[in-house]
Amino acid sequence: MTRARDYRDIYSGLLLICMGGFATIYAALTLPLGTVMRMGPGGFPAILGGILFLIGVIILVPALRREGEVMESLEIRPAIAVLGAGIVFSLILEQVGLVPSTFVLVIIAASGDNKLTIRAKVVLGVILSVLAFLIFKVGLSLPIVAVRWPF
Amino acid sequence: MLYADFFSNIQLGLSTAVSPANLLYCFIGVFVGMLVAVLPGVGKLAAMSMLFPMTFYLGPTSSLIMLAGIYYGTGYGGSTASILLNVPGEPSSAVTCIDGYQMAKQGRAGVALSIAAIASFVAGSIGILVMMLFSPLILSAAQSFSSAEYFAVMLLGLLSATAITDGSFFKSLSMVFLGLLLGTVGLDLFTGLPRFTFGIPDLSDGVSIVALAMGVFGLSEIINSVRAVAEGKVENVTLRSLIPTRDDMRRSVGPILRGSLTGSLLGALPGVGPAIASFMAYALEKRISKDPSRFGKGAVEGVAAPEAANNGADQTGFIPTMTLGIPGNAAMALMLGVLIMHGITPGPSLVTKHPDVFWGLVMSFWLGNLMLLVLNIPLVGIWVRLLQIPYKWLYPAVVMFICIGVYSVNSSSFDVLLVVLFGGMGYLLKFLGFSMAPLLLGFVLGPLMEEHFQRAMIQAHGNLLIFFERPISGTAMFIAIALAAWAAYAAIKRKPMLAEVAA
Repeated sequence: MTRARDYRDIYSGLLLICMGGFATIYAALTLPLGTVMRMGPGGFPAILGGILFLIGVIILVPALRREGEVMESLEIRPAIAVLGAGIVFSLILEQVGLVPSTFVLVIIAASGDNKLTIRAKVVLGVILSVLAFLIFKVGLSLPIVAVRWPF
Repeated sequence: MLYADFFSNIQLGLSTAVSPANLLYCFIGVFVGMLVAVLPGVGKLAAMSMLFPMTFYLGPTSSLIMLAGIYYGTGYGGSTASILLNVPGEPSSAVTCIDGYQMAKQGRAGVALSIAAIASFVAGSIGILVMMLFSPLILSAAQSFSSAEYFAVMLLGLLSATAITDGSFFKSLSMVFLGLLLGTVGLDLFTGLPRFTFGIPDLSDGVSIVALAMGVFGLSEIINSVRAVAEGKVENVTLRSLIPTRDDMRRSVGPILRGSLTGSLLGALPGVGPAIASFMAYALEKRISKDPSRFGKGAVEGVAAPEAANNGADQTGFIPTMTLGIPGNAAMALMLGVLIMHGITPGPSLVTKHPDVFWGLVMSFWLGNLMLLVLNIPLVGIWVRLLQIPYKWLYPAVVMFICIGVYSVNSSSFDVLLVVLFGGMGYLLKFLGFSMAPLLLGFVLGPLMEEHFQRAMIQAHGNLLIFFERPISGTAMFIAIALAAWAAYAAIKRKPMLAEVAA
């Protein structure tokens, strides 16, 4: 009874069911659906959501009765570092300017593994923020301040 | 009459392609393509989406020339990592590892590299010729297309790209529909009502293709590779070792020509693409060889054939994309994205209304292939060194280029958040075994298909049979349905569709 099930496909199916169900319900609640001949703006998304839901069921049901491989674990640390770097960057870019926010982005992103020392991260951060300044500000003249003091 | 303007078109194309600006963008494209194929953990889709923001500053022709250069440039560079490290730089060079790495172990890496480059060049040239000769044929057939045909042919393209996949058919299919769904975000074309914008004004123009592509192909790949990319040690390759022996040349001629033809023909079919073409070419050579036991032990034919096939396929993959507006893979979907962004409707009208774009692109392929040949062989020492850049130094730079790049498109911090969202989503979905290429295909084709569907419905007064009554659309619908049924049957029986090809 304690055999490992095909959890990869179980989660996949559940995810699709949730996304499809949400899309259909949201479309039906917020948009006119129309008819096949004169489809309203909600019609197409509602159908798509329904199909996603259906595929989710097709993937889920057989997976419930099937053995599966053990799933490897998620790459939590790299995910937090890479995604976190992007979030912080988007929040501070217009407040402090291109160069400091690029520096912060590189430091956070480089923390995805522990292969670089702190000094190496700082060096990389300095090199890349200068590079960003040269490419995007000098080269492509992006309309963004290089450094802004928020205080 | 098909080829009435053939020579004037070639002339127009050449004069467009050799303009200094276009030469420069062609060079940037092929150089970046070569570079990312050699660099560990950066794929061609990530590179194409990273340079995508630049296309806002360029005209449509220059943009296409540059992105296309990245696309086929990776065909040249991909073999380098395969041969020297036994790690395919791109999926389409995976089969080159088998004999290429064996050759390297026998001290013949240089020969393998130069044969791969020559094979790529010959095949690229043949692929371009096929494109120049076949495109007018397809265009004349497409003159009679109405919305029903477009819808049917796009559906066929989508389904065949989904059915012929290495993963689960249902999972790929679900990604198509998720892509279609993401394509509906924004203001509805007909009524102006906001769809799935959740009250966020930044979403009323829809999801930006740059954010989506950079998220699912860029950030999510990085998350996967941070701890996975191994650092390689390779022997240096001297220029002298690059020269193939007379025997190598003699053995390679046949495989190169056969590989070029296999690749050029398969590449034009949506969903087949360079990876499958290279497997097919390898299998073919092994089958017709007088001594199949040499394969897997460093046979030069095993490098020549797949490298020819993947480059031939790279070039002819542009045929359905540029003539019909039907992308066969995610990279081609990005090319269409460039056109749409510049206000050009993809499809047969592209070639008639903008012959300079089409023929300029085709003629730039010649120049690009020539540049790649020159870049590839004499600079091999540099590529070998780049191959050894540690990923820990590389990936923060890639994250930086993605974040600033996506911001630069609309000067929008919100788009950076979108990239992060799609990056996380892409990582999770890939972790669960979904592939991301069908997602982008669905996203790009979705709005076009919805429009054609509604137009066809209005023309036919809501009669769904219109898709089956017209000969071309009927045939396409029939093949699409048969393909989907076959793929679904195989998926339920859990038989991998590509098992025979790889064997």
